[in-house]
Amino acid sequence: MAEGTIDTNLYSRQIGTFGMETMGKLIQMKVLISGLRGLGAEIAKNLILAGPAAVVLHDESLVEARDLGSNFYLVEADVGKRKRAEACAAQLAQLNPYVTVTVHSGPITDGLLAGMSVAVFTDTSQSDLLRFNEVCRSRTPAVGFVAADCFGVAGTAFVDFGDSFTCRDKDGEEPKSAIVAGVTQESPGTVHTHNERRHGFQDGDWVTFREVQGMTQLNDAKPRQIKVTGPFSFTIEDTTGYSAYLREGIVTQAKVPTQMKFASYRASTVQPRPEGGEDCEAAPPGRPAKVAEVVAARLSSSLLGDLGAQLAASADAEARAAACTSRRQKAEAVVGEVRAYLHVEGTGASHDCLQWAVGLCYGLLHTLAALEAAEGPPPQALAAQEYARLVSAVNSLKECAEKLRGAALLGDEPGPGRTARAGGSQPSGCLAGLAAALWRGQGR
Amino acid sequence: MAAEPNGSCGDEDAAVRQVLGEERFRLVQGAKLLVVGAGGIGCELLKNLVLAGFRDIEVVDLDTIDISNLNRQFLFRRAHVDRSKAEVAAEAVRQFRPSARVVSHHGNVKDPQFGVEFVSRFDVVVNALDNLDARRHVNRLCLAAEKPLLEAGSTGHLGQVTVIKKGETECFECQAKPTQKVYPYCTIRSTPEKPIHCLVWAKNLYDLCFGPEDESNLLTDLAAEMKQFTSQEKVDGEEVGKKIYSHLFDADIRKQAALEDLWSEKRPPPDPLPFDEAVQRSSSSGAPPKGGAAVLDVQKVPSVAGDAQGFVAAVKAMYSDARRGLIGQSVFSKDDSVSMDFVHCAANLRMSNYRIDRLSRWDAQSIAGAIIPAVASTNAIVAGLEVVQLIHVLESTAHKKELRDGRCRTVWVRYPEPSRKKILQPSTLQPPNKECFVCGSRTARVALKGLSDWKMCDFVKKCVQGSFGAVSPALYHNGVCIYNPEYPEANEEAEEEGMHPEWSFTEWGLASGALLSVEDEAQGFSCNLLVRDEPELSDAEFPAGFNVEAGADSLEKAGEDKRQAEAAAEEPPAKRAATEGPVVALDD
Repeated sequence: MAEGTIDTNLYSRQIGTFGMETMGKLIQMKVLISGLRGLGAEIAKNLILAGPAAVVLHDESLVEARDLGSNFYLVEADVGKRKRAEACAAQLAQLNPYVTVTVHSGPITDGLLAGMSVAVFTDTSQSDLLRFNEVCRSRTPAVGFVAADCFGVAGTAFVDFGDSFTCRDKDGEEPKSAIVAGVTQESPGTVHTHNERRHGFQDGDWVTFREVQGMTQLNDAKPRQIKVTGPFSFTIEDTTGYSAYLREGIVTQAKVPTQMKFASYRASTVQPRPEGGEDCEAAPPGRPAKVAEVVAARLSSSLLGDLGAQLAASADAEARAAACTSRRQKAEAVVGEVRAYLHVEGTGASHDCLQWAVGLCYGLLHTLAALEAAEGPPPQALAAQEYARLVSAVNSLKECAEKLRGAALLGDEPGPGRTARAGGSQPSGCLAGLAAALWRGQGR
Repeated sequence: MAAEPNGSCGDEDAAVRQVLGEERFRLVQGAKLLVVGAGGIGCELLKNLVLAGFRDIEVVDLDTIDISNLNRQFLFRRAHVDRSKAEVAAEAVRQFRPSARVVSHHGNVKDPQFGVEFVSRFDVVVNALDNLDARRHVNRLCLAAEKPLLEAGSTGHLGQVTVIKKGETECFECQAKPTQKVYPYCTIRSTPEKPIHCLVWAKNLYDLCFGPEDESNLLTDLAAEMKQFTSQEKVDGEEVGKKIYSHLFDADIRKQAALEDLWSEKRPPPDPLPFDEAVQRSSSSGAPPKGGAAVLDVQKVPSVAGDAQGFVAAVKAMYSDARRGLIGQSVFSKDDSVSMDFVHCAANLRMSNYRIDRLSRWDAQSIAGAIIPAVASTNAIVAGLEVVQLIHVLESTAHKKELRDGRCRTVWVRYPEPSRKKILQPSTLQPPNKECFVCGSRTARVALKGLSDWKMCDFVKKCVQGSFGAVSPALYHNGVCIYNPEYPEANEEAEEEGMHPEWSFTEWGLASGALLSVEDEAQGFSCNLLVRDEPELSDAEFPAGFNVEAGADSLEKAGEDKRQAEAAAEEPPAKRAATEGPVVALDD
């Protein structure tokens, strides 16, 4: 099939969902998917089925036995022998003959990213995410950046499409229309719609008028922004100078392109809540908003930041003991915060918060476990009592995590399911990325 | 039980075991599942199930693989086109997890072999179906077998998953589902107002001209005239095309326009469109492209000349050597380009006659083919949710808890509107509707137009099977059998058994207010039908001549639902989701 044409037989149902215009853009996209454990494989499968021009797969790690449980294209024979991307590329390519599927070997370079429309990262270290995000943002137009991860039953997605992303259609819905019943001559002018059906418009929507009799100035096809004053009314501009409304007229939502500014990965790490952005979730009553995010931010600065330094300092027994003490104190502080947060459970804490908390708990547990394993029994310099306190803190955290895991898996709100939304990025997602980094501990 | 709970490669389950914990993992390994449907949701579901550690799965699907499936149903490849979905899907997921026992059944779940007894062999039934009919059937089988049922659907970006168990939750039929829109005959035949009316007309025309004889064809009164034009012996397809053209878009329109009763100032008569005139109108109109994006040919509305020439060309193509043999057997398919061209051009020409805005090829195909929007990612989300709910069901069952006391939820997948931030919206399971004619009081009311003249066989076919979804129902009145599914037509054998399917209600001595009982052994389903005469039933609203009111108190309830729907518009999204109907049009 010639370039630029669409196989409408193959894609009929999908075009029915996305529309032909979006489909026309989709078939020109080039997408990098880095990280091909279970989540990467799912993303690659759904994306290749959708039909972009090209998908570049990247994962240089050797297949592990546990990958077989999630990346369905890996087989036992691949374990320890083949790299993940290589091992599943052929099967992924077979999903759609219109998509060029290739494997990128070696490190991800700026040049590779520059050639992509979107780059998707799963299972990628925090430092790499920060670096790749900067490269993606530095291009004009920006290369779309998506970072996603799963931890057990919790998951996250961070989206950054740069500082000036044009959104032509913010909701993909058919424009709503209403019948005009009256327009006042005042400032601002109030439009009344027929009271048989709600107009369904929202504050800030853009609308156009046609076939209005009397106040014909409205029929100029110019989109105007409205303020909703009721289910059958809204206000427009100053209409005092217009002729009087007589009868008829139809008002229709107009799709006006809007500029969206996404927060960078780094900015979201430092300041979880986007400047002037909406709250991601309602704060539990009596608690500060986004407890999980606050906890996560502390985690990142206090624990992750100096993890490497502490390990490196372990040559000198005294310094090591001091480092351990400081780390433990920080860890305990975090444990305390997480626990305090966990006790909100049942008071209406939103599920998102719970999920991040789960991710954080896992992260913390794995990190501490890894450190304990690396350093052996308690260093001599530590008082047995202190060590016992840490163990008890960790144990109660484990208990909470277990409980939370149950709540997340089997609780009121199954599964995460968040994507980018208008006007900002996903701060929580970013921080859950930190949790992921913690989970993987110092290994990378 | 699973074939080998601890197969040779334990590592592959390590992650899932860790996430689920030992107890749940054991439940998963021991569960015996029936999956109904191996399409869009089914493929994702089967993959998820084997990866989540399920080891004993049987899958039923009657469909074969079509090219348009390959965009979502990722277990299938081009080489598999026309093979059984169930078989290919089972083969594919066995490769993902060789230790899993995955058995496929290529067949219709409504076949007797998959009856109540079959369903009873499983712990849970998981639906991945694309049509109301089969879903109602499986619902009834599971109610009869008292097995929990996972029910799921998707359309475009929307989807939902819920859990059904007899006596504990709402069943699939506790809430009325929207039914397919039927257009009044005269709208199609004489007074179309919308493109869809012309497309329905054009589809019927195609089948009438080139398909097998079918009495239910809406244009059957044109059959004799069309037969003159379209017999297989005709040599010159172009000539046939022009003759049909002149008859339908010129002569017949003149006749219609002359029927003065039909037309008024508000509804002016149609304009005839002689072929020679049509081919002069070659300027292409249609809406300018949105946002300056490139427009594909299929998105453009052709000129009237293009429609006229396209129509003749499509007929000519029917008489090509390759297709000539199909005349008399070919029925419309949106994926068959000749029949789609025919229908698109014919519908557009008719829209010209009636001054309706004509359609692009793509829009015509979407509407005529009833292309239900579907994407892989929504199916993946829905299938994932089904597995989560399935684990809840297993856990509740193991702890002998009622499902509504456990963690099961109805979960809605909704494309976020600007004010909404959650794609997934859970809501609690509802208790059974006491008035449900399937799982509750079991009494439904049917209003029949001209009750006394309805023949029993027509009533069974159109209403009991067509509308109530029974497969092979027997009807009783006061304990006397008045319809036996073994004798759907009048013949000697039937008469020997005392069966008269051709008898009318009056002949059976039934009058308005009669209470019938329906027994369907194939579904393990029974209900009562209160039939009453309704001479005023609107033809336009109920072209089939009957109206079903599912619950006994449905009249009062309908008013209440309406009020709720109005109130819903201002409620928060999660609540609104619960009051809106489920997604019934599904991905296959």
